Amino acid sequence: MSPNKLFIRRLTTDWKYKYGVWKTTVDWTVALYIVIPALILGIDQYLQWWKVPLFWVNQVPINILLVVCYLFAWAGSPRIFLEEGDQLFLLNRTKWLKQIIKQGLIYSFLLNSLFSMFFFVLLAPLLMKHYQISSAYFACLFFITLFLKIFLGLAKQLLNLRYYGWKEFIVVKGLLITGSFVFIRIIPYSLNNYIVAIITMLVLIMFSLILTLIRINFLSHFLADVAREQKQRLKYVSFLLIISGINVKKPKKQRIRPLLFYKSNLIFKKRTPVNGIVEMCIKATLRNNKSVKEYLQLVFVCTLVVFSLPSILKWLIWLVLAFVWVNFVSLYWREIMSSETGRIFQWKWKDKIVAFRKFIFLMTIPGFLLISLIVGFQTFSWIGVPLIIPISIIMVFYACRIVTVLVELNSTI
Amino acid sequence: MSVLQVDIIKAGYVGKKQVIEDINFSVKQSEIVGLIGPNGAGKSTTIKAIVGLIPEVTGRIQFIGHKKNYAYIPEQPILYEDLTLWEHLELAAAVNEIERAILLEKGNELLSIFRLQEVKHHFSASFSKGMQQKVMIILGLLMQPDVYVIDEPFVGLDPRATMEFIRFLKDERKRGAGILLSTHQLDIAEKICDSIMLIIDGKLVVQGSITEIQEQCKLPGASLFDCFDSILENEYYVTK
Repeated sequence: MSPNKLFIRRLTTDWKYKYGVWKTTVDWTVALYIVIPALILGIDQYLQWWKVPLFWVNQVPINILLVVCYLFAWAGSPRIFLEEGDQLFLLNRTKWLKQIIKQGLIYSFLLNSLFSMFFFVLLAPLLMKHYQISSAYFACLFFITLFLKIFLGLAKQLLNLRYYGWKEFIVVKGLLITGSFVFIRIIPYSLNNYIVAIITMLVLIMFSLILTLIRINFLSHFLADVAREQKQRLKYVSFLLIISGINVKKPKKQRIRPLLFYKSNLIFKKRTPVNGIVEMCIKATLRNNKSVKEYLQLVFVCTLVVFSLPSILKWLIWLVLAFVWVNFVSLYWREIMSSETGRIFQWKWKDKIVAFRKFIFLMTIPGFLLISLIVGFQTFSWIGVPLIIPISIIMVFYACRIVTVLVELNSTI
Repeated sequence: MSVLQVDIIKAGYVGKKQVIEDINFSVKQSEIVGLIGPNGAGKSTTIKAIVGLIPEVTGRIQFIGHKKNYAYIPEQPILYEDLTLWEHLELAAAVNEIERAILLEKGNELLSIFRLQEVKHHFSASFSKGMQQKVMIILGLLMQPDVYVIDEPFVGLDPRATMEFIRFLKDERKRGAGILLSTHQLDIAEKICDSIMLIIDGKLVVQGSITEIQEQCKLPGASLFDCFDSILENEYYVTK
């Protein structure tokens, strides 16, 4: 066994694992009815872009496209293929570790090149047909984006290892924002001047080489490296599982103290089993960034939908949305109550039912009220705002009752 | 008076329905029953069957104490990652209808004893395994149930916390609680248990007080460790 052989073995296992998940998710029915038709439609649409320019492209300034390129370069992090077991066998054999990291980086750079090619093939009709960029400039933009992707991937990874908490947030987000401004400023200039373009590329290659060397020799954060590797290994797998409707719990960085209810403050003064369960679920939901993000995204999407609909349809959809919201919020309940921790508490069925109804009511109200306010204001102007509030509350109250009865009948709480 | 009556004909998991069989015993008020056995013998399966965590159970398990409740302390700490330590106590108190004054007094006392007062408003997920185990124990102690069902409680506890936990088990026994304790720590089991059960390959092999076990092994005055070794080496595997 040599480091190179070990790397090849890890790479093969990685691909086999991904292929296995892909095969499980995309069976022949999914392939036949979704993947193949989507591919055919996608290729046809792409060929159309070469023939007929897209009608909405006129609205898109070139800077937006450059931001898209920058975000593409920003995405992802190079793989280094370290595993947890290495702390037993390889941690004191730095030569082996360095060789595996080196191979991992080379593999990541090759993968970056392939992804960048695919990305630019997609952008080609837009850039070359609509913006009339010459092949040489197109190639320049491609190489600059590719080298930037390699540089940013390494820089981000090293900064994540070096800093933690709010410092990491500031440094990494700072790099994202300043980098995007520099990119948008330099690229148009580079595209008008080959020398600037070549210098940009050379600078990026030089910095990437320096960072590659630093990365290979940066072995002091082994556990953080392994944790990131595991996360990256599961990244595409999680994505496939999520689109198959399977709930994947991602590991998250754990804060020591909560931001909300900092001193374990009570929500309900009256301490009853029902209030205890509801309080636990509300706190668990509000402290979970993913849940809050999903909640706000749904508010945003629903607001857009009701905002853009004509009057009668708006009210019909508003009615439907009340039930959609109650059902959406009940998913949070399920996630929390399905936790293993529930095993140590012996909930009474009756308490669970009442707590469920109370939780979905309280959690639905803020989001649904916001949407209702838009509907009320658009239809009846300012007078609609105070009118819609009590109506919405009554509406949600009954929607919660109906959903609770259905859940109770199915014993699926 | 018994607080827990266990009559398991067989129990196991999906795909392996008979991990344990013919497990019959009871836990009385003010009694600590130790459940010992080699790795993979079925101790945890027995515990899980008692608290209703495995689907495949044939038999009868009855909590027959005054309150008809129990506290389960699992081997692996399981806590809500988005709740603070104190919020777990609040939840346990609310669900078990413990008066607020009692929660504040007893909860704070337990936190001080287990030296967790400083981190009471921290997320329990940020704790070490030993600290999380202490939280599980505190939750159990706070409930003051009829029966404690405890799986390997000493794993991850520092010596001082182990001593405190043993002291609390003794206090709870004095209060009248029945305690079923699965453990590999034979020296502790010998010191605190009123009765010992030895499970091997899913079957109850020996059951009784330490003196009765010594008599069964024909090793008067021997330690539980020696009796355990003797049963495993000379009696069980030879007859098997």
